[in-house]
Amino acid sequence: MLIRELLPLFDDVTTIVEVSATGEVLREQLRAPEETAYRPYAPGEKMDADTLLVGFVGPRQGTQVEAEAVAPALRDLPVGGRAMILLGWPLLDLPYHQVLEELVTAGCQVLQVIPIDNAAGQGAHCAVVAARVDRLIPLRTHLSDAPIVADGDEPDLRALLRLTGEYVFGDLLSRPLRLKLAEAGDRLKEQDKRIRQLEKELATTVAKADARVERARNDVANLRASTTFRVGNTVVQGARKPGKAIVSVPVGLVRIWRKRGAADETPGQKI
Amino acid sequence: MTVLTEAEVSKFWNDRHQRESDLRSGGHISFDEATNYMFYLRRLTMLMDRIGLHNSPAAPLHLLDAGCGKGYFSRELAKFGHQVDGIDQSEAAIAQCNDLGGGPRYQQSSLSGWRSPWLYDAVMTVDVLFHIMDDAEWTRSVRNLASLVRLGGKLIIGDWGQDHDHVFGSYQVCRGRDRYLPLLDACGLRFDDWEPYRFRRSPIGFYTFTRIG
Repeated sequence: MLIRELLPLFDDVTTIVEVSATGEVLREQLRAPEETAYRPYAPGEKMDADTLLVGFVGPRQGTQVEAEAVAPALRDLPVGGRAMILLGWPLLDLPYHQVLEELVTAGCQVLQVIPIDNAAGQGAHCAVVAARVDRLIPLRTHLSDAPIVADGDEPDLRALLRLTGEYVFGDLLSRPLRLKLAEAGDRLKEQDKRIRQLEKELATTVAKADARVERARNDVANLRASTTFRVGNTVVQGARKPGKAIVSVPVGLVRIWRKRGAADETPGQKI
Repeated sequence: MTVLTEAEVSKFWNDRHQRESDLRSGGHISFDEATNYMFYLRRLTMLMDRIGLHNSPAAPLHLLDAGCGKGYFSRELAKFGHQVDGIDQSEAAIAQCNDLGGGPRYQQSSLSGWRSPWLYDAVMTVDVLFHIMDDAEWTRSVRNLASLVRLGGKLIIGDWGQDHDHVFGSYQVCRGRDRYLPLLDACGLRFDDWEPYRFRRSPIGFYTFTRIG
């Protein structure tokens, strides 16, 4: 669901009260209608059932707040009052424990947690939909896009048995999954460590190879600059072209002799 | 006596974990290593009484050792087959934990700053909370640890059992039972009991709370 599709889930909202301090950012993201009043939360204010409390809880300082900052506003909600709290953590790492603590302490029931599309751009990964209650009300499911109301029939015993049963089985199944996830994380960490070690070893090997190549280049340069090589090269060239050798070899040797000082100044080891 | 600031305490523990031996660094500084070993075993046995004597390789218990120091309790509890997360603010202690391995997963974090996508069957903090000097930080830490306990799970806290606060030395502020009980009751945790360590006249013991709401 897109963030702008969230508000239409709530019927009869005349006022939106924001408990975080995003300025106009959240209002714009939610596409709050012009006719709906939108204002920041004032501690101790009385809200009615037509008021929707919104907040942005997450790790980003400035636009997002800590869970405990939302608590006073949740406690000010009347029974039947609704709240929508956007969470700024990725779903796989969602530290919901603090938000849940504040909701339960304030007498609020979590009705649904809706994943939000395009989270990267807006920073909201899911929306917690909750209501202040004095009795249990039916949960919403992921299949439903019907309006969110806080006055449905109280779940009967069968529904509660289903709820607790799903919790118990869900808990059992989550344990091996959590274990597998942790073990996969360990393996990943180990692989990262091994990769870093291999990168280091590779860098050392490459550096050693580079040094060997550099030494070989110096050796070749020194060899080419040596008198021995140049005399030999002159003689070999003469042998290849015997017709010219009678002139080129003596001239070449004289040239080498004249430049002997320069040759001696060639850097590197003499050969 | 003036108590240390939070920054001073943090530095104190990091230095101590680098300087002192394995058990003495996080245990009782007045005891030698052998006595500290007994002290650790005593508390480990008490933790077993609270966490229970069952384990399951397929569906293990998940535990948080908050303020794990060099990880003695984390490693021992991991040997029982439990999945243990250990957190500590000291970089030196966590580095040593990671070197020792042994099963638990360690992260450097304060007690108030630990965020997890999973709740725990039991959260324990053994003789750590009384080293948090600042009251507001202490409250944040207790509330955060409480929020990490699942329904039916346990919160185990090492501190003294009297009804008022008491300062020992410059880096130990024991909070009283009259502070823990109302704070955790408001978090939906039921007070089960407080049992002293009964170790060499130590005034400290374990509070045990169970999440019921």
